[in-house]
Amino acid sequence: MNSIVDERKKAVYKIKKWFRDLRTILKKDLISTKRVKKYFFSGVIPPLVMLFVFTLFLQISNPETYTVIVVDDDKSQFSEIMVDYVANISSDFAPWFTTIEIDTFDEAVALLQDFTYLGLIYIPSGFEANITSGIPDQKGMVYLIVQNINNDYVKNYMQRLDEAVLTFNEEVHVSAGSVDLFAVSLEKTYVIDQSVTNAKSITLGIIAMYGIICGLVFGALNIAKEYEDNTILEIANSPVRRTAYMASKQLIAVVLGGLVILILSILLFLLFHIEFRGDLSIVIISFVLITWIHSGIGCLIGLKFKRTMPVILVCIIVSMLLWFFTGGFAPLNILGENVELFSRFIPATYWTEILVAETLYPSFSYVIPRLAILVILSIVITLFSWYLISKEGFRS
Amino acid sequence: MSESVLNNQNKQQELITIKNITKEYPNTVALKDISFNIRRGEIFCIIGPNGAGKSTIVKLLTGQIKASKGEIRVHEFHTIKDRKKILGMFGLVPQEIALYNELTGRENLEFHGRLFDLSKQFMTQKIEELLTMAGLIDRQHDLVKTYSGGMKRRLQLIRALLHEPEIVILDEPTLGVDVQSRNAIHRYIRDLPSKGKTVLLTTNYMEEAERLADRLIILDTKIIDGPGRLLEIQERVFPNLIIEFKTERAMLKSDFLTIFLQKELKGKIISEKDMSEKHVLLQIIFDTIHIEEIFEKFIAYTKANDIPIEEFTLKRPNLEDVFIKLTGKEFRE
Repeated sequence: MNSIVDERKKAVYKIKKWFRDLRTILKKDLISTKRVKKYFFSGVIPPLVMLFVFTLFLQISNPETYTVIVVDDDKSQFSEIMVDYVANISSDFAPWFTTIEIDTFDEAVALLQDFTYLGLIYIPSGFEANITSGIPDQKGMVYLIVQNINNDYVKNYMQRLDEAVLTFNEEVHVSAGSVDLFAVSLEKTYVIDQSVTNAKSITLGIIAMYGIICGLVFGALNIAKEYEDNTILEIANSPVRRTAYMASKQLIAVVLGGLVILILSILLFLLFHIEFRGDLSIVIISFVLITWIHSGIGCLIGLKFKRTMPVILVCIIVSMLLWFFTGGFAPLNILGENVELFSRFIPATYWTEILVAETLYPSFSYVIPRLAILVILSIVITLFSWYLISKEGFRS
Repeated sequence: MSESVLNNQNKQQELITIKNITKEYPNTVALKDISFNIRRGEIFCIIGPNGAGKSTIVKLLTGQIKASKGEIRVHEFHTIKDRKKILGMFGLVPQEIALYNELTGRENLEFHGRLFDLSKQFMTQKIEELLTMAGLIDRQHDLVKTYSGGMKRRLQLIRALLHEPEIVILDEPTLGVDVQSRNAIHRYIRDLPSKGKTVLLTTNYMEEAERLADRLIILDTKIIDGPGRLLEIQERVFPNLIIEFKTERAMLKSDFLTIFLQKELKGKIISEKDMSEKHVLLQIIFDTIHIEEIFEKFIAYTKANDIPIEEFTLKRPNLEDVFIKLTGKEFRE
């Protein structure tokens, strides 16, 4: 009986000691980082410079709102309802989309080709006649002609238009008394395969990249500095729990990275008027996960190179590569099938997708599986890096 | 007292047992079949040139690396298998400065204390005591990066003592330190056995080993000599005595003195240096270590023959001489 009590006491002590170790190392690292300003500023200044550059060069050339032309050739009661649906889905919860009505199709196409507008919705004459004919195959047509399929805004808009047509089919036509519930068909045409860049997407890309960089750099630096200053000897010869040590090194990366991202997000809001429209808690959780994952990888880089300067260089190169392969630099589908496939094995892909989704077109069902993948990857990578560091990392 | 009782007592005294240790790296052998024991309460010194394997022994002892062959035990604990149990027993002063430069001296000590799970009350009291002892109390709130090399060494030493370890391991603790700090560090080390500590000291400063070691080994990948007391090793390796004195050159002309030195005392003149027009400095080596006998005969003879003697010194071969004789090579510091 006594031995069971003793075992329980020992277990409780071990758990408490683990958290004490974690707190001790975390506190020490926070104090050190606060006093070594060059490390902190090397994390904060580059994103600020990048933001400044993008503000100067991109904000002017990219509109803050996207306008879609609507041409209603039918000019019937039903086509006008359809135009209202399109107008509503363009502005509801997405004020950056607006519509403008143009009288003739030819005039609209000319404006579209000048890149003045994002897309064109065309409702040809005979729309009402077709949907009220009662003939199943005779559908009212809505044509969408868009600039570029690769742009996140365009994708988002297409989803919205799909929803508009579906809602129209379900609500309006049923009330009109027809037996055919799906009398309107949407046809999408992508006329100009031209890459559309915009400040918002790029700035989000920068945030995505800094999620990666912060994890890698802060994780790697904290380990490399211990080796550079020989203080790893102090750790190696103390009874500190190895897992508590690693967890603290990763936590510090999350804390410092969080601070950098917070500054960036504030600037993002002030300069580009971008705010997270989705669930902020999901963005925070995914950020914590991605920084945690990359700090684990960073710790391995720190262990390998053991000196701060090579570590910073390697981390930046690795971050850039990861950024390129995860859709932060450019949409994955324009980078080719192989890159797209490869990106599925990189944790940052899911982080970028969640970030873009939560900012541009929030969708719970889209985000949750990606979040789950991040959780699994963070467990796997953490266990792997902890194993390697516990095995090799405390040898001086 | 019976032999078995004596053996038992010796065993109890043995705190660290190093048995047939070999450490091989892919292209080199760092240590070759090393065996020795360290007794409770002694200052045990490992002396050897750079690359002799001194720090490798420290790393093996603290369980930082595994031996290729052999085993090390502290009490009954194996240094690798039972590493968690023995970590608190050691207070390590590494060869390198291993302090957090961005923390103050006091913060470094507090961090160490927390890692070793010391109570706040004990830690505060002990830190005050140690900082005072090391003469760092006035600089306790300064960042370590502003400390001199000697101050950093002293801080490392007291940090190793903070958690009251049974064994203090000092890996070249005075490397690159000025004379004052070195003397201060020597004083702390000398006091450690009186506080119940066992000390393992590695050094390549001969004079440090001569001043501090109760017992020592001479190491150069393998044990060259020892373990034993310095005097024992010196006598075994170099059973010679050297006397040096200044006398008048005229005394040598008659040959009486030289004949006496060579025939009666069995000495050999190894150097004859002109000091002035009238004076000469003689150095004579004897194949004995019995100082008293030589000294008495020499004084009696010089008095009886009115031989003026100045600046008489009696020299034993130092540790460096021993090392050169044992290895046939100069000591590489």
